[in-house]
Amino acid sequence: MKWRIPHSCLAAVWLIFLSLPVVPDVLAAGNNVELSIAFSPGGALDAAARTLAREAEKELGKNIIVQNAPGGGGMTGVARLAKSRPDGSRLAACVTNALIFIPFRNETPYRPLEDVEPLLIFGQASPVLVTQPDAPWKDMDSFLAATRERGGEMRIGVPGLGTPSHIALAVMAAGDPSLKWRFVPFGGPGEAEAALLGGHVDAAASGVLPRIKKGQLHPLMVLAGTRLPALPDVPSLADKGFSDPGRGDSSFILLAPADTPETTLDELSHAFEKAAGSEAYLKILENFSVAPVLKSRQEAREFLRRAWAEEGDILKAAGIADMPAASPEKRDVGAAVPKGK
Amino acid sequence: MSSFRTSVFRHALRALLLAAGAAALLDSPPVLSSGLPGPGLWPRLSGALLLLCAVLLPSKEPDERSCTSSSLRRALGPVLSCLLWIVLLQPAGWLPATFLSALLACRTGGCSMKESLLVCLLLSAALWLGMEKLLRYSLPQGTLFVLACGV
Amino acid sequence: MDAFLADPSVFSGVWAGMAAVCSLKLWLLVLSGVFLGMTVGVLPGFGPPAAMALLFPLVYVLEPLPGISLLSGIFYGAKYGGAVTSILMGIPGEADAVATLFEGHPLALGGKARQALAAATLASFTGGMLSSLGMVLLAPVLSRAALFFGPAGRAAVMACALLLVAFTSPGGARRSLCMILLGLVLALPGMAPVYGTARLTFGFWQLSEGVELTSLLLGMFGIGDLLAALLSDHEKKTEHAFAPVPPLKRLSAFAAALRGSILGFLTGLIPCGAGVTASFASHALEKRLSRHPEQFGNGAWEGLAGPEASNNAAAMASFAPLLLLGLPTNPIMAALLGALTIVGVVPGPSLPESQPDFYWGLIVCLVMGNVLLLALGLGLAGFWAYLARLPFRLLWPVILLLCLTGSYVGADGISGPVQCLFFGLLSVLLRRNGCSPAPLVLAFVLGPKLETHLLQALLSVW
Repeated sequence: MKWRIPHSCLAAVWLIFLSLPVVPDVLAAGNNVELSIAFSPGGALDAAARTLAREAEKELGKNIIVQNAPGGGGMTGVARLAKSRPDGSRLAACVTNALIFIPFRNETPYRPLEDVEPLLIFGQASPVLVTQPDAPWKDMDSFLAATRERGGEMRIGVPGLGTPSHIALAVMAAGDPSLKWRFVPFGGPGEAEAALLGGHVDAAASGVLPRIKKGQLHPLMVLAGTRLPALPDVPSLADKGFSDPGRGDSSFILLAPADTPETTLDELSHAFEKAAGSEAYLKILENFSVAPVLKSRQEAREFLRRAWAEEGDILKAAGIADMPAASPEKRDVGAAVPKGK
Repeated sequence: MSSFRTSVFRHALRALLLAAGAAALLDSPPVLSSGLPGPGLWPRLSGALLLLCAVLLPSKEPDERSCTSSSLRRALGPVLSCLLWIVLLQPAGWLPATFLSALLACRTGGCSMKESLLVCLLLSAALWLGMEKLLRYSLPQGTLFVLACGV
Repeated sequence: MDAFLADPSVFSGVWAGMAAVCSLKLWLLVLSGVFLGMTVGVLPGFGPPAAMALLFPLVYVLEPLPGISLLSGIFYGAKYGGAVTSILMGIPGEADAVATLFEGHPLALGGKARQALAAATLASFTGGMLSSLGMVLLAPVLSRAALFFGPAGRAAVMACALLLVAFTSPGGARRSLCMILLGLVLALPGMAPVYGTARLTFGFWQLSEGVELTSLLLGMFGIGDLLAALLSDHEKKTEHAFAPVPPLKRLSAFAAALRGSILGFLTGLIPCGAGVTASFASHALEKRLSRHPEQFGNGAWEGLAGPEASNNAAAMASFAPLLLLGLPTNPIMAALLGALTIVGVVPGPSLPESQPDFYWGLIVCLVMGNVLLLALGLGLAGFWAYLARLPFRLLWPVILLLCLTGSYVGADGISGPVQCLFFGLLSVLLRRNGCSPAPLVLAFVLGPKLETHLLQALLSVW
């Protein structure tokens, strides 16, 4: 093959441009910690975890390489972590949904309480129930009143069936026979809001803070236990007297493989805890409507145990306990006593 | 002999479609769950429609190039290379598997030894560079080598 | 907002965006994004998501406009890379590139690889430029209209596309309908779209993700074509010689690109699997409108220009719902939405007024990306065509190994190549029966979306 000069130049130029992503790696020597995020890039978990990693790098003194391992609602990322070497070089960030709700209803290749070790809980997704700015109901009370009037014709767009916001609303409806909604599930951020603005649903359970601040969406209620600091006037579930059932499912958690040595776990969790208090991190959380809930290692472990134990009752209360599942008997397996650690 | 082959092909497709439709129709969750349309609605609908269409599939073959035994032998090359690659991947790792199956493919395709080696080397090197170095995708290492190095 | 067309601020906005053109740093960033995207697009199994995930961290470091432009450059580059492998080797890296290979691959086999690549590049450029123009002038108005496509509307659009493809695919309507339904059924195993429960996995947890798209594409088209070529009785020399390649009629190819651009632009505005839907629909449309439909499948230039233009136009147009409604129409846009939130850009109808530097700057950068792609595409066509001139016996092992590796990467495990081989064999069975795999692939991609929208529509009224 005769290689003409222009072609060789072209090849050279190409190689130069391709070196762009490789350079940071080459400069970073050895000792790395790999953090895989169990969701696709761009979501709330992704942004929060990446910012956390960047802040934690300063504390830890090592490089943290962040990757995405999406799939199965978080199952793929957690499954991979469970099989990794427990030496502190591999971590994963996911939403507790993948550790509680999903294993409850599906076959998972990992045991959520035994195969992974929680390091830190670094946030809780706090979805906001929003409606159109020119809707006839201006706050939660008038919305509930309108629901009672219309007798089950109000449609609420939720980011998915079984998500914390859906469960919170379903529990509300289950507790009060005069409240009946039609839940229309959507796939991701933006879809429910678009449906809202197009008039296909009456309210959406996934409002994003920046758009609320700009006045494009009107907030009715925070579908979590506490108010969001950025929206001091918007009531939370607790204010209105409802419990926060989704608490177990919507926390952002950092995981390490089981059997990782204690000293490594302590070192890592301290670094990340300090990172979670940094200003840059809190700013990112604010943009994505994530409440800055922080739980240390011990607290996180306790939290997971309790959430698992309560999950069955929560699902029953929400009326979705008998939704089809791959293997219904999994619910009993989950109640087995975990290995004492 | 070749007419037997063509009739096998003809019926195989219809059988496959019927099997797929039946599986979708019978093995999926119930249509309604707690009174609302559930995850079983769509599979059963699609399965039923597929069964219907499989029955209506036209059986007349369009102009059919007969399948001689020499062409079957030619087609066996890629299939064997694929199987070799799949079998070798976990034990030997990506690099040996790729190199060896590419070699097999080239040789069954009629390349000379020199050409085969050149193509296989270039291909393995280019892909390895692109995936390991550029995209940082870790290709399988091969359990045999890992064991051999005592890691 | 609706007086947009008469608004003089459009011009001041575009002028503000033009400042971006003068920034060398921006040009370099978009260029590197395009190069990286192209390389990644050529490697099957990886797509824009892989490259974007790789460079996502830079979004934190760079300012908003450069960061997002880099990611968009990758997006374009990957589309072009996918077209290259489709045309030269018949391996579609992504579902969007499938319609390109229907006519592009026969053209390459007929010895017209360089012209085919150049034509594809020009068609993409046309699509991109017309779509940019549409974004500037019409997008705000049209996106509001797009909001009114609710779940039922979107399902209807997808069903129409499927039917259009069914009635124009080779093999006849009955066979194509079977293929469509088989595609829908193949998409079933795995996690159900709305409920998230596993179904039809028959106990294998590998199937919990379902049949993998990359393995399906690479198997059906890559390995399938290979096996079909080897099984047919012709003596293999350097090129296949089934039917002579039709002559290039520039005007009709350009008209096809125009039609494709409009089709792509309109479908890009609503979430209905835009790139795939638009390219398949464009191919079917061109076949319907052509005076020589028998040329389709043997290298009809209109069948190459239309899908490529519509693909690029749809990609460009999908920025409109993202920026103006905060509605991502595909997973890549969803990632970009996250990037926008991180850099503090708030999507919404008032974005052009509240952050004109960013909005117009981005549009200008997208146009820059288009221009760069044109230059690269035309310049590299000769380079790529070198590879196409290699004898078939040297090329097919490369194709085989690319398919195997690509499906391994796509499925992240050994199940990928196994599925790939299975689909290759299935493809042979289908072709022997006169069925075309194209409707199957479209149905496979659209199936879960159709189901989602159908369920959403039913749940709103049940």
